[in-house]
Amino acid sequence: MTRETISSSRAAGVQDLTTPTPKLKALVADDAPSNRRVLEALLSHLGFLVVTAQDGEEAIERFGAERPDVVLLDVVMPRMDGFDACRRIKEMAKEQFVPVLFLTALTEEDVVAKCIDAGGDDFLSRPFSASVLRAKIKALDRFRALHATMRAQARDLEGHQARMLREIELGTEVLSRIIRADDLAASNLHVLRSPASMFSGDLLMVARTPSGGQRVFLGDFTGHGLPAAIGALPVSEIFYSRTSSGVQIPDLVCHIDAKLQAILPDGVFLAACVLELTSDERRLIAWNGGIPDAIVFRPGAGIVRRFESTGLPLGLGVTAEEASRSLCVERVRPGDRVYIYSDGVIELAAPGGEMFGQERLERFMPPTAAPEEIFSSVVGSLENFRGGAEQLDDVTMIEVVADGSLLQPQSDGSRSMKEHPPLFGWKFTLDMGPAALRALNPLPLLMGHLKELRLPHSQEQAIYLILAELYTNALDHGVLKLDSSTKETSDGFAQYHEMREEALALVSSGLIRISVGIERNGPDYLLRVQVQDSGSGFSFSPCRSALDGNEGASGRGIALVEHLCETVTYTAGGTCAEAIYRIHGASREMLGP
Amino acid sequence: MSVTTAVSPDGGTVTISIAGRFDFQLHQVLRNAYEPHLTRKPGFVIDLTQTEYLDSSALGMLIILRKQAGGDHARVAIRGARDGVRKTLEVANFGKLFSLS
Repeated sequence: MTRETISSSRAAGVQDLTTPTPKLKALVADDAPSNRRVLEALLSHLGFLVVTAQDGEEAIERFGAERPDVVLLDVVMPRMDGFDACRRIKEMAKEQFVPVLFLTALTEEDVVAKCIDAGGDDFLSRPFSASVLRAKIKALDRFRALHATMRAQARDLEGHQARMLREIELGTEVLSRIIRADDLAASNLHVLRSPASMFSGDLLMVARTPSGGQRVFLGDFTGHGLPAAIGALPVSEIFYSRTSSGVQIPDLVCHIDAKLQAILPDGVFLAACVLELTSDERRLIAWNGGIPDAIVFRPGAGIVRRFESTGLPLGLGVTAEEASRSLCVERVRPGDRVYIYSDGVIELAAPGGEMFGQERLERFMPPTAAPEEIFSSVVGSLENFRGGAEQLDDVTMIEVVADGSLLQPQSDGSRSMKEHPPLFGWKFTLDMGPAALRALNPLPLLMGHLKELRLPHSQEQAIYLILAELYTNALDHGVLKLDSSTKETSDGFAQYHEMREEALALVSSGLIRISVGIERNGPDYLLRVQVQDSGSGFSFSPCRSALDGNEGASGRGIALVEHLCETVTYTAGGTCAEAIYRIHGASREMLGP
Repeated sequence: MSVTTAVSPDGGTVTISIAGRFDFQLHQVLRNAYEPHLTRKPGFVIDLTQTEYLDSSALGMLIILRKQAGGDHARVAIRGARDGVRKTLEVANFGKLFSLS
C-alpha cells in the first residue's frame, strides 16, 4: 500500500484515537529528558508510535525520516528553537497537513501569537493534564483527517477537470472540422463569433448552392455548451448535404426541423435564420424562425428591409408549406449589406445590466454610414459596451456583402474534363423486376454512380435526359402499355399520371434491363446506354420533327434523345433501345449557343 | 425536389421555383402552384436556378402551363436555367415559346 492510499483511508473519518489502525506516529521534541518521557508515555497510551528529538534541528531530521502524523514541540530548545523548527516542518510537509502543537511553560500572549505565526496549530501551557492533551490531540487529528479528505477530493476534481477539458478539446476539434471554414472565409463575409462557453450554442455555416448562390445559416440553440453543440452535428450534416444537392430553403428548414424533433429532448430547440444571396446577386431569400430581425443596409439609403422572425424555431414542428409561406424575398442592389446576428448581440449586458439593444445596433446604419466601416464599428462598440461584465450568451454576427464576388466563376466547383477525364472501359447493368419497378426510381441511383465515375458536371443534364427518356419509354409503353397521347391537356396529364400510378402499382411481371458504360474511341469518350424491356415493342418512327412544331405536350422525349446522341437505334422489335452519346471534350460546347 | 411559389406585392407576377429534379413526380405539385393564380392572368416566372435535371415530361408540363396561362398571349418566362438544363430547353426550341433568361 502506498502512503497516498493510507492517508486516503485514514481520511475516511475521524478515528477513535485509542485504537488507531494502523498506528499513527507522533514526533516529540523537547530538550528536557523528563518531559520527553512523560509525553512518550502519554502518547503511547493514546495509541501512537512515538519518535523523539532533543532539539529543533534533530526534530527536523526525524520529521524528514519518520514523516509523523502529528508534532509536539517545546518552544525553548538549544541549537534551534520550536518556532524555527515549526516553520521548517510546515515547509517540508508541503500540501499535506501535519498538525503542530506547542508545549511551553511561557504564558505571555506574545509567545502564543508567535507560535501561531510560526505555523503552529495549537498551544498548550505547562503544566497540563493528560485529558487536556488528549482532547487537543484528538481535535487536531480531526483537522488532519478533514484536510486529507479535502485533498483527496481536490485531486479527484482535478482529474475530472483535466478529463473534461480534454473531451471539450476533442469536441471542439470535431465541431471545427464539421463547420467548413473556407466557405465562411469568403471575401464578402465578415464574421464575429464569441461563445460564452467553450462550445457555442450558436451555429454559423455558409455553403454555396449548386447554382453558385451563397447560403448562410445562423442558428441559436436554447442553452449553450455541450448539449447545444451535440445538436449542431446533424444540423450541419443536413445543411451542407441538402444545400449542395440543390434543396431549397423551405425543404431544408423542414428537414432540419424533423431531425431535431426526433433527437432533441423537450425544451431544446434551434432558433435559426437562413439567408441566400442568389448567384446573380439580385435577390435575397430569407427565412427567419426566432432570430432577431436580419437587417438589409443599402449605401446612401440606410436600412431598407428587416427580415423579421415569421416562423417557429426548428425542432418545434415546421412544415415545408409554413416555411414557404414565411419565406421573404428582397431585391438586392450592388453594395447592399445584410446583417444577421444572434440575440446575444442585442442582449449583451453592460456592467450596470443595461442591454445593447436593437436601437443601438441600428444607429450604426444611417444612410450616411460608411458601408465598409459598419461591421468593425459594431464589433468595437460591443466590446466597449460590455466593459468588464461577464458575457452570458453566445454572441454571433455575420455581414454578407453583395460585392459582386458571387458573379465571379467558382474556381473549385466546376471540374473541367481536361483535368479529370471520365473513367472509361466499364459497363454496369441494372435489372429491374416487377418489385423493383414498383418501388425504385433508378435515375437517382444511376446518376449517383455516374458522378462517382467522374462524369463531367456539364454533361449531367444531357445524360440524365437520355436515361430518363429511355427508361420512361420502356416503363410506360413497354411494360405498362400506356398511350402518351392522353397527355395533351392539363387534365389529360393528370389522368395519365393516375393511370401510370395505378398500372405501376399492379405490375406483377416484366423486366427492364439498363446498361450504362463509357468507352474510349480515340479522343472521344462515348457513353453507351441500352434499355431493354420485356414488352411487345413500340413505334419508333424517327421523330426529330416533333421538336419543330413544339405545340404538343408529349412526344418530345425521344426527339430530344435523338438530338443529343450520335445514334439511337432500336432492335428486337422496338424493345431494346441503344443510345450512344459523345461526352464532349470541353464544357464550352454544352454552354454555348 | 421542391416547388416554391412567391407572388409579387402587386400580384402581377407569380414566381415558381423548382429545386432538384424536375420530372413527372412534380406534376400535381406544380399544378397546385399555378392554378389558383390563373384567373388573375398574372405573368409567370419559372425559376430553374436550383433545378438539377429536367426531362421531357417537365417540358410537357411547361407547355401545359403556357396553354393554361393564355397560350400565345401568355407571359411565361423561364429564368436561371443552368448549363445542361438550359441546353435541353434550347434543344427543344423553347426559346420560341417562352422568354429564356
